[in-house]
Amino acid sequence: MKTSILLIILATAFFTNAQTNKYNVIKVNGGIFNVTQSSELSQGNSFVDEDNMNFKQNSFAYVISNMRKKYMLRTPNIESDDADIFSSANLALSPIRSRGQLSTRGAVSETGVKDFKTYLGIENFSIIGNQLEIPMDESRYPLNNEEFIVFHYDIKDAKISKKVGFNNQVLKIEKEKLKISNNNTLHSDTIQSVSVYKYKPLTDDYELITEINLCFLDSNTLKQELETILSIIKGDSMTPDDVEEYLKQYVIDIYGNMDDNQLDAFIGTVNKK
Amino acid sequence: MIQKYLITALLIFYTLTTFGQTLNDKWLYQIDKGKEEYAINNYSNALTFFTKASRLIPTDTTAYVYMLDCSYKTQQADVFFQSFSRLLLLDYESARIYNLAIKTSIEVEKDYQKAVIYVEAAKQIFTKDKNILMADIMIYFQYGDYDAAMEKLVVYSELFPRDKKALDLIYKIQYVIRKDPASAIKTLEKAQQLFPNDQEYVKKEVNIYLETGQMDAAEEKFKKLIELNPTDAKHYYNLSLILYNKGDYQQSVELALKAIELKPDFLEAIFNVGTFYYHRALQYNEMLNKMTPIQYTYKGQGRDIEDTAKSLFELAKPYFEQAIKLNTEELGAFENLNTINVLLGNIEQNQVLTDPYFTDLENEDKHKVYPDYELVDFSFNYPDGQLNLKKGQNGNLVISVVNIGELSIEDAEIRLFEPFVNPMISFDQTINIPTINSGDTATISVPFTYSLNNVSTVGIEKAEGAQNLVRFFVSGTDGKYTDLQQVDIAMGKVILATVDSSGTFSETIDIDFTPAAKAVNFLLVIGIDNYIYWQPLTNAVNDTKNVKEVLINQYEVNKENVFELYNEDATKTNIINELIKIKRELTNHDNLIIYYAGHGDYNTSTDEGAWIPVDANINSEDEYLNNTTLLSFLNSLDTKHTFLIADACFSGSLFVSDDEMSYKPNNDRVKSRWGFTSGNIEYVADGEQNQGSPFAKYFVEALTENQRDFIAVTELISYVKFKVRNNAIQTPIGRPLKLEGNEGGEFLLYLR
Repeated sequence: MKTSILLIILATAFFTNAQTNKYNVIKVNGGIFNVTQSSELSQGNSFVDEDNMNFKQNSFAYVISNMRKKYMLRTPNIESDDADIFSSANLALSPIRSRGQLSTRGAVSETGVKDFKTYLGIENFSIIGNQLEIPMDESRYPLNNEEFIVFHYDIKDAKISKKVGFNNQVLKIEKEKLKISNNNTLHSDTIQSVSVYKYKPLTDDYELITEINLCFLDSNTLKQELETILSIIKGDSMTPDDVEEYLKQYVIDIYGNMDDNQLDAFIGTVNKK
Repeated sequence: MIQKYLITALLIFYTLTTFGQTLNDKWLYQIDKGKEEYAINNYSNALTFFTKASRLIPTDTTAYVYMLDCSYKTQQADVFFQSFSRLLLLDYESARIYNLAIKTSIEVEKDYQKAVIYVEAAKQIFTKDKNILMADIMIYFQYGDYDAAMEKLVVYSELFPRDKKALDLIYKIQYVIRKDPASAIKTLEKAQQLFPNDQEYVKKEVNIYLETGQMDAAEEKFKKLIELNPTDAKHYYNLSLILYNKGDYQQSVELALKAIELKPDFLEAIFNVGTFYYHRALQYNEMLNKMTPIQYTYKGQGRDIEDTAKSLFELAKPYFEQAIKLNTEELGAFENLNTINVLLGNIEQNQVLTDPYFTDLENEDKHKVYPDYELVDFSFNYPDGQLNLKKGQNGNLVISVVNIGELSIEDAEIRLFEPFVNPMISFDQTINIPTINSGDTATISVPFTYSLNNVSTVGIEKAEGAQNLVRFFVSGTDGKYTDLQQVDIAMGKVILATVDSSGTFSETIDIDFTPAAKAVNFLLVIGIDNYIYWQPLTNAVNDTKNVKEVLINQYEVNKENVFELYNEDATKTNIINELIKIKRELTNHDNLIIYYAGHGDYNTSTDEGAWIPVDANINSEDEYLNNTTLLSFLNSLDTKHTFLIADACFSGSLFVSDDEMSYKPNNDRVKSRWGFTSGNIEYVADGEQNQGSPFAKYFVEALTENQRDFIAVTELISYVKFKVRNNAIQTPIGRPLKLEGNEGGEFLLYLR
């Protein structure tokens, strides 16, 4: 009896060791060099736990393990002043926490967005491409020149307040118009700390809805990321719906809240069932 | 017999007294329960308790007053007006309850007529009560009857001429609603007489002048603002803009320089001083455009103008360089600097290219000997079907030169230059002409390209005026040259629509909107030494006062926002009442700090900690303030950040999880609910008399020693934990609290 238990333990240990963790690279930001493989890490590459990496400062990558879990590979100490940082991959991997269910759907009704805070969330809200049109519920968020949505944020030290454009009850968020204000221009595609207000200029009444980081994603780059994932998971026994769900969850986990319709449509162009 | 009556009477008296006490206790119980529910926003439950209390003692007004609040909050107009009638029957009349009746009529019943009835009744009773009169005005203002609101405002202003809200409403009706700037200006002038040191009215007036284009009046008001606040750089800057538009460049620059002196990193002023010089230079450069080729050459003005433009560009340059240093994303400065460099280079090149003309000015006769070649025709060819050149396209300048001499002409060349360079147009400045035999005509095509935007062409976006003029002449090896000719190249442009008049469409535009006054920090401190039934403590009150002092003196906590309960005042009811008071004043932008120093207790069967109010009996858990109740109160407070600090035993059960967090930049914009306790589920040290508890000592030390602009809650916690662990046998804990409002943020306490 004891011998058989020992054999099972040994077999399990052997099996576990034999399962090397392999990671597929979905996106690289900056420069990471796989010293073990003598190659620059790039989209579509793979590596294992034990590989040694050389990170350029502030570099990171999004990767997917062979168990289909999402990780961020980044310099173990991003505050370091060293130009290059060496580390084995397993020390530099940190799991990306899932943000759970797709969250904007619950905030939208037939008549448009009824709960803008739930729709935008409180962290990152991302838009694919340069603009997004959002139908807003008229009873909750009437849009006209007496009542509208304002984005308030900083470009460098300047406080910027933008009346967000609309056409009837459709709110129009446009990257270029938000990034430029008078003599100030923001060069990043992420506008940090945007306070979203509902504002009535006549009575100067306002209500803070939420505070977010507003990110505009390059659609080509995102498409490449999703295509890379598709090529990795194509051998898995996943139904087309599972694949779609996996891709959606990936985008939300990495980039934050998104408009469901935009995300669905975008994923539809990448993952043709 | 007498004895029998006496005994009966005593029995009746005893029964009545006992019954009376019981009734009173029951009533008190319902009132207290109602208040507890009221404190945590459970207005429906609170209403039930207060209703029961009102039935127990129908002649007491306390319950009805609370019932008014609760029914208003739960939008139960029928209950509200029943309670209101009861109060009137009991002769309880206050302006506040009439105000609530007016609000309920409008907000719940949408019945403006009814609101008018209540306001009229209130006006009879509370003659000239400020709040009632203002409520009267607001009815009409909200209803949209601005004429009636205005009529009442006039009367109100006579009674309360210094009421700023009334002045503000008058201004809004006159300017924002009726678009009547003249009347609004009169109101603002009157306001300035009443409040001569208040800049807000001057600013409002100056805005009207700016919006209606009355620049002279705006200029005067900016001067007034400078008088009121001579150290505000912005006023000098604004005035400099007005003077610039008037053409008073000298003064304009002086004022902008004054603004920079007051605020050396005043980016806009620095940018504008550069822009003043830059625009002046551009004006000179444009003059070159407007000059005829003859003026440019024979009259000798061209070179002088070029030199002036050059010196002005050189004056502008350091300001744009400074602007870029202050803000590396200042694209405007970058564009202007880029343009300056291009234009300065252009001036140099032009001077080399056109040297023959200017050297000949001293010897005009020589020039009058015409060469054997003539520039007979020229035209600019755009792409097929177009009248202009679009970005990324090519066009050609076609020039015909005839040889009127008897010998063939060799090595002649066409020289081209722009008086005002457009870096997006590129062409060769010198084109060789092939040999032209006597009597022949040569046609030369000079290619032009309209570049796509790139780093080196971005500068021209800021240049103004005619920018596409190209001048050229033909020169030969004989040192002679033709007359100067010019061609204007048309460039394609895009025009965008902005706002329609229907109001259902708007572009994204900048607006003047400044949200949220700064968050207010509220502080509730509770310190108890002199317990009635529990063993007295020695340092709790002093510790609490020390914490309060350091927060008031060093941090952004104002005295008027501090609530204090010490010793005999720190009963359970008073603690709840203070929380209710704070709740009425807080907005969701504000922050709340609660510091408690006193006894704590832990119930092992319910696994729950509690604070011990001053009058609580030992083993009377109903009299304690247990953690669940406390957290329910805090849950009902819609703050930005709540920070609860407890220097008491067994406070560790307040926390949600084992997650400990560290400071993350910008995390203060996310809501937070943090707690920090002197110990876990354990006894903690009170410290030696007058020495302070170890926890409080290091808490105050952390706040006092902080050298940065702010201290983050996580930093404060780390400091105190480290110090206390090394100096006492207790384990302070700082973590998010078991509260719904916690969104993962962190409170930063800013220094004054």
